[in-house]
Amino acid sequence: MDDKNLPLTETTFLILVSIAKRPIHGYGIINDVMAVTDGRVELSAGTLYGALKRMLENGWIVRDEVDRKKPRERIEYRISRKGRSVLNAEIARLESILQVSQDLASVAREG
Amino acid sequence: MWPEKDKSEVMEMIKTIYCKLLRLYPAVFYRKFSGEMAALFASRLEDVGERGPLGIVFFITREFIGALFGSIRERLNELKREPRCIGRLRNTSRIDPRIGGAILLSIGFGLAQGTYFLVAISGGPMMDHPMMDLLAGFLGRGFLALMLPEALALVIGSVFIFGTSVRARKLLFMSLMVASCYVIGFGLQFRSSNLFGQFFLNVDKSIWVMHRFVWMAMIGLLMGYVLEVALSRKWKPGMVTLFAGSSLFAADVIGYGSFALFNLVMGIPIFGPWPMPEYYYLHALQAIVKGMILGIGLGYIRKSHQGNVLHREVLTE
Repeated sequence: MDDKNLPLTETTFLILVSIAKRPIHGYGIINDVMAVTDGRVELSAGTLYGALKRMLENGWIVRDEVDRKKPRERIEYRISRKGRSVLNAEIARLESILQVSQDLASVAREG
Repeated sequence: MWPEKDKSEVMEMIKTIYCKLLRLYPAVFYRKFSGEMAALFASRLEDVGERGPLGIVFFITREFIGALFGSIRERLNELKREPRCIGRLRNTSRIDPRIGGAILLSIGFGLAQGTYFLVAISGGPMMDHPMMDLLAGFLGRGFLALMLPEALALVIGSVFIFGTSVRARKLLFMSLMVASCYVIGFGLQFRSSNLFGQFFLNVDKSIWVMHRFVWMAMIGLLMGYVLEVALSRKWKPGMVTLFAGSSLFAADVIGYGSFALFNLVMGIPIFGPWPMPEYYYLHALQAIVKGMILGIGLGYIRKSHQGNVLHREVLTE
């Protein structure tokens, strides 16, 4: 895993998490992110597609071939192997930060 | 509350405006994602309709700002990525660029010197007053009468030299950048000459001349660097920068050298009182020589880059 991609921004992380669950379209990603964050993060279309474009360029996600029968908003995105490894690395990084935070919090409580 | 008919009309209008706003994105992005973005916006607009008018206003504001900033971000990203070819230097004229450039710039610089004299004759000495402030260094009459016409000649000359195969707007941009280097360099030279004169009035005049030559070399280096970046992908100064710097330096040394030599031979004081009628002709001569050498220099640069592509990193739209 190339660490230069880390840390991910919160938006990128949330979008990648949403796509990692299942192949999903833009509308689904926005609703998913809203649900995960209890409505704290509501992505605009501009932010979402800017992030999707960068992820596509990095090879982290794959865009489903345009099916002419499908409406445009039903174009789905799914995570690639590279994207999953980036996501796993980011999760590991966040877990280590969480571990450090928990240790510090317990020291602070005991002190 | 809103009548349903009016509401749907307003919603349609908002969707139309959003679609127009998406046009701000770079063409590649627009082609790939605008359909999805417009459809997503329409779906979300239906959803937020339930939140009431205030919710709709918040949603629209956020989406419009998101699209606006997103388009700016994408355009900036586009500039940062691999340079895109915008044109190719080809032989579009039957005249050799070195010969054509030399002729054009000689005439242009000669004419520029002519306007300078016209103003000098009608309005007296053209020297900037040493006590003038910084702005005067740029906006003095000498600057306006001489440098701007010379810069204009340079724009026309470089448009000719660098061919018509590159789209006119980009070419004009490049020429204007080169001319700007020339004008700014000259303005600074005027200004520093004044400061130099102000603080070191007793200094040998030959040092003034050397100071001018150094400035000309610096202007040339700057012009060359602009050309270098425009002609190649490299941001590092290289042969073109060196060549332009030395050719402009040589042009000025030879131009003014011939002027000084002629004065010496004819027994005219090299640094005589200004304005002196003899100086008009000699200045015109040095301008023509300078234009000729600069034209050959630029033409040579163009000739040596035959077939090279011009990149959009410098020539942005």
